[in-house]
Amino acid sequence: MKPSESIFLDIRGLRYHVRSWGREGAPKLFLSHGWMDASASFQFFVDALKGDWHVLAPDWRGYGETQRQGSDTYWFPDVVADLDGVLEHFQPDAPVSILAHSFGANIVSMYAGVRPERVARYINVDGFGPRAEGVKPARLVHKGKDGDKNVAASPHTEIPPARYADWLDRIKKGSGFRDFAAFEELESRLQREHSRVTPERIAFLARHWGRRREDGRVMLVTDPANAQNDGIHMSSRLDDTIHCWHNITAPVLWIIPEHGSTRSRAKELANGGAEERLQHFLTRREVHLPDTGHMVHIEKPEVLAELVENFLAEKPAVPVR
Amino acid sequence: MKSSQSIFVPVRGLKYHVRSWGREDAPKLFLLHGWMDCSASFQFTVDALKNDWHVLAPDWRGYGLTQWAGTDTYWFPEFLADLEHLLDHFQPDTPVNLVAHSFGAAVACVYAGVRPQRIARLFNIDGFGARDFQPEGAPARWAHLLKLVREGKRFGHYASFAALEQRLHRQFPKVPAQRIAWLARHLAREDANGGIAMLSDPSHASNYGPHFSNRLDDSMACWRAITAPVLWLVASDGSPVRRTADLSDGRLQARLACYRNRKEVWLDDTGHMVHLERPEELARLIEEFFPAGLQNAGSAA
Repeated sequence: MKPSESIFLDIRGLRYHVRSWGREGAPKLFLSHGWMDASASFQFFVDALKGDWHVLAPDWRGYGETQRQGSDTYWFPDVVADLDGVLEHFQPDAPVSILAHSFGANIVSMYAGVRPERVARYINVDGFGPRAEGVKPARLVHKGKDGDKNVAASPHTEIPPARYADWLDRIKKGSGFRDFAAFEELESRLQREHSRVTPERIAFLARHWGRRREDGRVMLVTDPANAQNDGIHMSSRLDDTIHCWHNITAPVLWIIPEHGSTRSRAKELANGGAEERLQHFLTRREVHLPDTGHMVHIEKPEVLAELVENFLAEKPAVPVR
Repeated sequence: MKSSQSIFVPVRGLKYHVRSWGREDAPKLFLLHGWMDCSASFQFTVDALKNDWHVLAPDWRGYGLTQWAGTDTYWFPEFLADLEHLLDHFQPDTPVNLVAHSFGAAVACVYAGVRPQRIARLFNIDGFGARDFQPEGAPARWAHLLKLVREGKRFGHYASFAALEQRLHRQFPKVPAQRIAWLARHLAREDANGGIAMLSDPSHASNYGPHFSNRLDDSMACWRAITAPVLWLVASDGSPVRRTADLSDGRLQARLACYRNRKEVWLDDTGHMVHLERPEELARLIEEFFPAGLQNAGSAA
């Protein structure tokens, strides 16, 4: 197992933890974890990398060893601004190579469209973007791959009053996680949730997603306020997001596991929903992984590492736009 | 001048300041201030009220004597949650009477659609709500947000109260000088170096976060859900003039039309700060709109 070091930074008033693997002068690869995850879960992926890399993976606010915000709701633009702060700290002068998973990819997809000049290469692992709030169809004009103007149907994303009300109800109740008698109990829960992951990896993850308290019981490290995702959803509208996706100039390698978001979010992503979203990434290449679940970096780290190193080794492609 | 008391209430981790005028068992009126303002600026309106009211006016997070959030950006929905917490604290069992100005009205009007059963009547002073952002502008908007975050805070300092008064007078030329002087002493205080520091969190200065996180179509969906009677006080030289990009060409009417149960009052020759320019007129309209029957219902608990 390659050892990681912990770096602590002040990002917008929060004490941010960034996990660092490899040699400082080596080419940098940034990793962006997803919802209810942490930087440590990239360990197996980093172990499988063959090249010489300086890998940097922040724990997002309220995750892993990064400070909690201390409020009841997290907002999407805050995390995007945190990413800007992290990249400015480590690599201010050159565009970055970055891999991002799930919610972490929602952050990076937005950022790569807002600051296209800051991203050189981007690997999106199963991150299909925010929920569509409403159901009213709206028409959206976007530029196709060939530069033609195409019109695509896109779900309208207005926040209805009931969504605000749900959120207000939820923060009044507060949020909390159950705790566990011991790491073994957490492991068996994680094993049920992630049936494709080996017991050794589950044991490792349990010790990074969980922490033993003074009374001996094990608690989850994540801020419970991150578990209920209303604030994140309300502050990342799909229609805005799609317009930012259009702006991405970096080549994007899209990794789509067979049993990932397209299954868990079937309501939105089945029946052409996933393809509809993918087409807004004008510089993408797709890789479909059979017999793989959402946690690609934990289930198939070797496959992912090979795909990533091949992608990053390619000669700069002719710009698409 | 009627005297006010300060009440401090913990709201979602912040120490909130609420200014209170009048007898505690009198019918309640909640007054919600706008951007870069504070609860104290309602003093002249409260002075002009003729009836017996218990007036409660919070300083929003990061304003007046309320604690700052400690972040570089304020998001619109936070104010909805703060308002709910305050209303539940002071008047949990009956629908409330709300008077709200400008940004305070943007919050109140969305809230009134989110919790229609909580609002008895809503008096909107020149508050037209969200900016009309389009999805096409999203990349530029997000880039602007990141730029503001990177630039960081700029603290508001003045050499003296006289200097702050001059600035306020330029901004609000129709407000009499003695009210400006009074307001200056509630918007700012002397700092350790003998200068004058604004009480409002510099993170409010750009006002971009609340706008960024409050989209017009979201707001309109909430406005349409309001059941309470709404009075719209439109200042002729206020928002419609200052926000032509959002409010000209029938767009003002489109916003007003979302309110099913509304009455409009247009005040000629009046700027945006109605409560400072024409407090007597405002107090009269408020007391006409909140009738005695509802006042009593509001204090039944």
